[in-house]
Amino acid sequence: MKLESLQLDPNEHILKTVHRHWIMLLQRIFSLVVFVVMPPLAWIIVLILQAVQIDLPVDFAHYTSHFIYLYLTWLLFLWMSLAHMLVNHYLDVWIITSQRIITIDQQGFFRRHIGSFRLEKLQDINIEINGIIATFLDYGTVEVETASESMGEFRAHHLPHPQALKALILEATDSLNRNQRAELQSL
Amino acid sequence: MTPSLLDQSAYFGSSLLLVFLVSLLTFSIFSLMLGYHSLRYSINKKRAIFFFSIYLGGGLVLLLAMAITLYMLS
Repeated sequence: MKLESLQLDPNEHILKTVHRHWIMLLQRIFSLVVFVVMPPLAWIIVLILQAVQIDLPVDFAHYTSHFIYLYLTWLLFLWMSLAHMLVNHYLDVWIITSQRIITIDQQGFFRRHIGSFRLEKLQDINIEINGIIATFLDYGTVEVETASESMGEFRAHHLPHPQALKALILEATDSLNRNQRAELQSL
Repeated sequence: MTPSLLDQSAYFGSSLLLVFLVSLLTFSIFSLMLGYHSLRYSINKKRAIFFFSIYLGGGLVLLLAMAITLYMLS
């Protein structure tokens, strides 16, 4: 969904856009780094073994160029994985406006879930922070219960600053309710 | 298998070329899909273009390095 195509109401404005906490991206990148480092490490170990006169059936040193070629291919595929990871991370987003919460969940290139509900339907917000790392880095799960039968509840994991997010949503809801009451009284 | 036997294999050189062509094709298709998605759905278009350019540049450098290594091997 393009931000321009969100079709906000005339009085509606975006308060905050929230992505998952950066530590989740870092965890995935770290696993890629392991895959980057492993092949040359294995190759070096094999060459060392051959250098210390361990009898191997193939002269591996002869194939260093072939190894470099295949390693470059491997790196190209890891590079694509990294790009895919980054796109998924940045396209997963919660958009909090003055009237709605819009959630976009990018599950793959051709799989995308978009949900939204109006703040008037908000019933309750629960936050959950589990573990030492989550406490220190201030991220957790935000669960929003709505009065809507079709939507039920929204849940997002690993959102940064969940308490501040909860306060922002509650403040926006209160402000919206106040405005609506004022409009009704003026009629 | 001794090195000479592997070098003499008629399929070995063409296998490396096939690896290159498959990589090139995969990279092209993947880049098209990635470009389409990141530019269409991104909240910040300028940032998306910037990161997509970096991705394309990195991929092309890797492909070029593969082509040079393949040329040296042939």
